[in-house]
Amino acid sequence: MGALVEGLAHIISGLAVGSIYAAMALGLTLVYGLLKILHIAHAGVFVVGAYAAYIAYSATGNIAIAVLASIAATSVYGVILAKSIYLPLMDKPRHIPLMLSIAIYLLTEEVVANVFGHYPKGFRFHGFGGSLNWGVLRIDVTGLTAILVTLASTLALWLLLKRTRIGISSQALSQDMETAKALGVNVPRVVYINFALGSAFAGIAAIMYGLYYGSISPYMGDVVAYKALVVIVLGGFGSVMGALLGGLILGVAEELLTAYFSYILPREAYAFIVLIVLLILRPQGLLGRRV
Amino acid sequence: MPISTGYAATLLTVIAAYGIAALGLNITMGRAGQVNLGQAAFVGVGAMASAIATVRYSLSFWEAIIIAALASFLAGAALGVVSIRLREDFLAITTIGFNFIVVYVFLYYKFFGGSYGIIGIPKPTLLGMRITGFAYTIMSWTILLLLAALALYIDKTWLGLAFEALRDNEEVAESVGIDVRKYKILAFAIGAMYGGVAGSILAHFKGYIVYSDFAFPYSIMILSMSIVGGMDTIVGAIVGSAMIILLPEIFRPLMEYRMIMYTAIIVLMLYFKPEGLLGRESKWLISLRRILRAWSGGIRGD
Amino acid sequence: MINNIILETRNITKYFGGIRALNNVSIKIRKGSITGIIGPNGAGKTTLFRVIAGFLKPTKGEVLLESKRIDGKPPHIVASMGVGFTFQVPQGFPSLSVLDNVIAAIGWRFYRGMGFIKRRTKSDIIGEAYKIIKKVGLEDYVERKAGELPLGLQKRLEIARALALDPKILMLDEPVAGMSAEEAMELAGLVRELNRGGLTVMLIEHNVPIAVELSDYMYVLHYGEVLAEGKPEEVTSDRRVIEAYLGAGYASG
Repeated sequence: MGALVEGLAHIISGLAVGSIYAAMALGLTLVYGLLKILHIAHAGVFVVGAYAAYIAYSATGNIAIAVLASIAATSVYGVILAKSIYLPLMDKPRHIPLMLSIAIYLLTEEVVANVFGHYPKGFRFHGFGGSLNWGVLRIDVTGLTAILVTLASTLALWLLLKRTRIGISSQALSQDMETAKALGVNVPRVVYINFALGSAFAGIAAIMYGLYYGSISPYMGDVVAYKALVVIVLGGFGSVMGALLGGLILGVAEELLTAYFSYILPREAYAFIVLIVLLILRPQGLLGRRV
Repeated sequence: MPISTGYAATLLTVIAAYGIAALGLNITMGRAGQVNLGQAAFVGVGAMASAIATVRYSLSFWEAIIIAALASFLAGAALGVVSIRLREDFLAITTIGFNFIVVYVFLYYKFFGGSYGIIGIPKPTLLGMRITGFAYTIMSWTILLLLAALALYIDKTWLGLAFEALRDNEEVAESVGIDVRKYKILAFAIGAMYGGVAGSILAHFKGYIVYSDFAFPYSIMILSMSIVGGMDTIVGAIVGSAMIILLPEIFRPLMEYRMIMYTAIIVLMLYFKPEGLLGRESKWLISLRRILRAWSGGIRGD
Repeated sequence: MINNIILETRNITKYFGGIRALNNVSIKIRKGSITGIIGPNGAGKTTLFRVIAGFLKPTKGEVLLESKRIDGKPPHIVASMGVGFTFQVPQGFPSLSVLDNVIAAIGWRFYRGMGFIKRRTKSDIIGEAYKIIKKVGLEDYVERKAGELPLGLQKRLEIARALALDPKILMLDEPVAGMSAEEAMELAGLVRELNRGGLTVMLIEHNVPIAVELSDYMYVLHYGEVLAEGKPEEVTSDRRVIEAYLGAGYASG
């Protein structure tokens, strides 16, 4: 009975961490679907989101304002990146925007570190947290919120892509840019909206990360960025539901592996090994279809 | 400002070593078009091989540098084998991951010195004399020039042409009978070998090495050298190394912000001048050539 | 008779996921012929081409070059065994000169094994490269970068690269696509000339008049199957072909 409860607790905290990965991966998957580029700078957007929320909360003490500040900062930063690097460099060899994206991520990290300090900062919303006790089972409120927020917002995004004009334009664009243009899709506009949406998810993910771990740091994007990559490979590139599932699966798998086999490898190593093995065996992604 | 010879010798040696590492990157990325964002890992493999060979097995520097070249060549070939299965963007990510793995291995295994590193790496000797100070600098530059000559020769071989074909279009290269896998592996292996030789030079110069000397930021540093100088020329790699090493020395405040400098340089160059200051397509290189030609013509008097 | 067949496919079937692109496609290409493969877009022409070239593995079936199986072999081996081919959209090596483009394709014959450490400019190679460049009429553009050539000349360079393999068969994927009528006529002339010199040609064409004019024998692909085969005049008068592909306009015209 105790082992069962313990296992359940591990699964729930795995789902919580996994939902942060998923929220992060949604932005990546939207961009990959449209532009077929790995948007590594998304991790920089994530860091910006965390610090925007931190500043707004420190100044006002208002949770809603902190969330809004984070979403606003990430959306704007995401659109700036789309406008300044991805769209103008569409015709260059792919490694150019990719290297730029990586360099911009590192640059963002370093600038944040030099402005706000290299060390982690405590991050919590007062009056938010604690745990629900359900018999022997204790559930962390922050983790539960992370799961629910990610589920709800993924569902909203999914509906948006399926039901609205902009969603249908996005899908046309991700199928074939030339055809979409011929059909009169305003390509930059669709790209900006997708970047704004995807980046907003990074902002939400950043807040959930900060609350869940109790602190933020300029380098918090490193690990999460890697995990998000694994997630989009797991989930098949460009798929929203794939990103959600991939994130949750990775979170739970990591949690269970570290709980029961922690002495073999450090936690961060699993995701990397999974990534390499997957890429070699199934380059189209685990849930993706072979093109 | 007076510059001590020791300080100058140090800077020049470091420039030569990283120039070699950047030259290797220019072969893998500039020539063959294979993205490698983990060159510091190969510098590390070479440095470790060289340090272990001399410190633990009492081999001479000259034997050790050959072992370093071989070890990094093999490590590069291994990454090349993995690269065959990967699409370009995921290859880039994997090379970063490779860098992390190598650093982890150095840190976790006592054999590689763990968190203390390896100390007491000896200076080379030649004809019974220890090579130190400025003599070491001259040795480094001699090795750099030899490897630059090798790179120049590769350009003129079928290998060089196969690399360029691979970079321009993999599918077409296959369609004309070029064994793409073989040349991808060679591109990584040769570029890595340059990194390994650079590592050996650095290790014996400093006398001690530790895992963190080869972490990912150093890959970014080498990448910035390659990009600022121009990926497709030999002189680009050397000038790039000199610029990136000297800038923070000249403008001391930059020391604190070196990582910002590297990344900002990469961003600005890729954005505004992706061919590099002295790349093949760069006007600077073309006018430099013209000046040199006019100058040498003047000397000969024609 | 069997010795006369240079390239043959036997019951090639190719699936992409659940979609069947080719179904039991069997074709034979006689030595010295120009064999045309026509069919509307999506008929599976390019898929068949890529299967023969080794870029795709057939789900089922065999490809034989002079009675030796080549299916499943990687493209560079297929190329070195004597299958030269051009791409529909000229690609080539845009940053290399016309000369280097051709040398790159000659090279594998001269630099086997560790031979890659030899200089690329051996005189016999240069000589052969010039001969090929002349054959396709690019002698005025030897030092020009391939990427800077106009489309018509890039198509010629495609052919030069394929010829550099010293192929037993030349497969052309829509060689006149995107060309002006005049350029297309010139290119057709070049193909016929190469064929007179003894080269077997397999021509994949969307442009029916050109294919009819050049081919000795034709196959019509439709929905991934061979719909008809025969001499061009037989094929073009076949009712099924007219209905399925050529359309009412051609029949009445």
